[in-house]
Amino acid sequence: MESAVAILYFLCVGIMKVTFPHLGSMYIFCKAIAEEAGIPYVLPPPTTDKTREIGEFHTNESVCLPLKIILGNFIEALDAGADTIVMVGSGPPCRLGLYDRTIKIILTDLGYEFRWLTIPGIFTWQAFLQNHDETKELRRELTIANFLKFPRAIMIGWRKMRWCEHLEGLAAKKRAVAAYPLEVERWLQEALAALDKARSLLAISRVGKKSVDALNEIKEHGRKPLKVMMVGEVYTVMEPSINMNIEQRLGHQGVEVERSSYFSSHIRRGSRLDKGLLKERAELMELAVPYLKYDVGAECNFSVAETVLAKKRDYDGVVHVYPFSCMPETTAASVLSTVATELGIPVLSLPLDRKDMGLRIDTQIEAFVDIMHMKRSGHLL
Amino acid sequence: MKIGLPVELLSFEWVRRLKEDVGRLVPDVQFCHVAAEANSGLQTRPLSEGDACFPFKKMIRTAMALLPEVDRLLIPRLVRLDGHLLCPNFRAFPDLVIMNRDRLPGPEKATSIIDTVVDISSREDEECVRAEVLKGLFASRLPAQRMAFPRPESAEAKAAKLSAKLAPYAKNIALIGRAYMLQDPHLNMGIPEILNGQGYGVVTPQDLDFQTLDQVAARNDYYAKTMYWRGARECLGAFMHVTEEMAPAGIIYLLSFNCGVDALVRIELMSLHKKLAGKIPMMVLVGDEHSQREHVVTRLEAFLDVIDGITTR
Repeated sequence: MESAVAILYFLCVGIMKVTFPHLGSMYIFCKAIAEEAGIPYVLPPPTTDKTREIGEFHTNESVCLPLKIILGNFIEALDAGADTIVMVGSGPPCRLGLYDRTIKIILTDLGYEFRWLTIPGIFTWQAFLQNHDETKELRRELTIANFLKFPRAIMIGWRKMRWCEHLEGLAAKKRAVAAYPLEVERWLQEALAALDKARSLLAISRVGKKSVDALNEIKEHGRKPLKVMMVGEVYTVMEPSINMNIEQRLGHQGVEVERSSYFSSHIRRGSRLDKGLLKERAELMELAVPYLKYDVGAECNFSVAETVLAKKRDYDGVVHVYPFSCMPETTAASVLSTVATELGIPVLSLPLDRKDMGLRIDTQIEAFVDIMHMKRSGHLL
Repeated sequence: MKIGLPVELLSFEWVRRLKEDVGRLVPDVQFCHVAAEANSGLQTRPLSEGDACFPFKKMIRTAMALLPEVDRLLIPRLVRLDGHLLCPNFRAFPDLVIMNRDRLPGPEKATSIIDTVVDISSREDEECVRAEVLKGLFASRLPAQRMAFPRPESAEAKAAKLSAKLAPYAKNIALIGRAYMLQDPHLNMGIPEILNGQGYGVVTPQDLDFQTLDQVAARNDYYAKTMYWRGARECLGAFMHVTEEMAPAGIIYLLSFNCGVDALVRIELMSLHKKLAGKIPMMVLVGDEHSQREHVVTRLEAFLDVIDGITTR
């Protein structure tokens, strides 16, 4: 009887149930890895006002919005049955490097029982040892079959993520010129859902190409769009529920948005394996030197550098998004007020916190778009 | 030569030692820490300070106001002290002052700013930084560095000072917060004096030996997840140390609104406080540019009533 219960227990709950936070389309990547490797997972419910409120309730007013929302995601996922949290880490001097430490404290105080795995954002010995320690128990729950499936699972996940990001980039361009921008939103949702369902590398490529063809079919209005660069804190740039869907809001005003960060670029930067990317980052840092002589940390110098780059590339403006109280980006915002004046490029800095400010953002965007139009037509110096 | 050194930076023990060192090596140097009233007009000019915390804004304003009065403005770029990082804002502090200086129309635009990078984890680093600062300040007439850089106060000396400070009081309150908050009456809204006036001695993290606090804080570190900011380690270590060793009548955590570091430390301190199961009352006070002393007094009175109630019971 006891062994029967043990087998039943193993079948039902014997293996971990992983969960991960929402970060743009990253869930498709994480889901793909879990599915392909045969690991049960619990996808957190889509981020809503309730998610944010949960996060706000258990933190304080000066904690940044991404932490609040990620905490809300985890609480909702744990309530839905998850027992193992997987999260991408980072390093000093930004707070993102201590999100896991802080969230663990909050969840433990709330009485949740869970295991934690941080995927290092920066690959150091300490991070490696931490990873080894965190996976000790988890490794015991995995079978050889799970391990053997991992390389393919990661390949599938990575390919899906790259396609998701490619399609999101195309959507950001198309929204600005589509005769009916909502058609682009519908197309993107369908394309991402189809990618999510694809189960082989071939199927992923097929779905991706078919989606691109479908996008090309969408009717355009024929006007030349405005073009802006979106810079700022990585989580805020990547997650629509945190940045209040700014990419979409701008797109619907006829603005093409180029994003500075994608999840894959964050991973590639952290791994330091892509030499080309590292060189590109070093060159970007140089662009910020006239304004910032030292690396402030996180994306601060890059936000400034990308603004300079946007001017060089003749973009119409820059949207700078960051969570209220974000230390590096608060500095970047101060610097950008000078950069904007000196270089003559409109910069819209948006510190984001509560979600009830959609109308405020719409108003700011409308004014920003007016300024860019006037500047382009020569009515504003 | 007149050297400007914003008063807020003097809250850092290393900066005080640097000042002592420069003063010994070049006796005719005169330090200015706050501007005379006449230059307060500079403070009302638009500044690129964004939505930073009030202490940081105040530092920028003090530095700007000092510009017309000094020959050189010394704003060390504080990256790391005692092997631990400082808030990232300090890395950009000189840049923001330079940016604002360059907007000024008058001769103060020409005042040079010495922004030596301070990244100190060892005595060797300390000597290197010292040499760089002296080079920046005195260039051609560099003084001979015959004397060693002043050492920090020993743990024993600090302990003796603290005993003397607390001697007149029967009860003590631990006032935890950043050095620049606790040593500036404008930023701490006079809390230490108010508490003293009510008959309570005040223990701050800066009264305690940092190495001790650092070791205590290390108990909560986990591989890559070390609390990497120096100020945070000081607060965390002080909380753990005073609750374990000193049994204060109460704990007040004073922080600045919008401080990213303290936002996380606050969560850790509240969690640690929960584990004390109500043995020591604790209050969190968040200060900002428009915080008023009267509000603070009311909160303190209520807090002291709680402490008195517990003591009486």
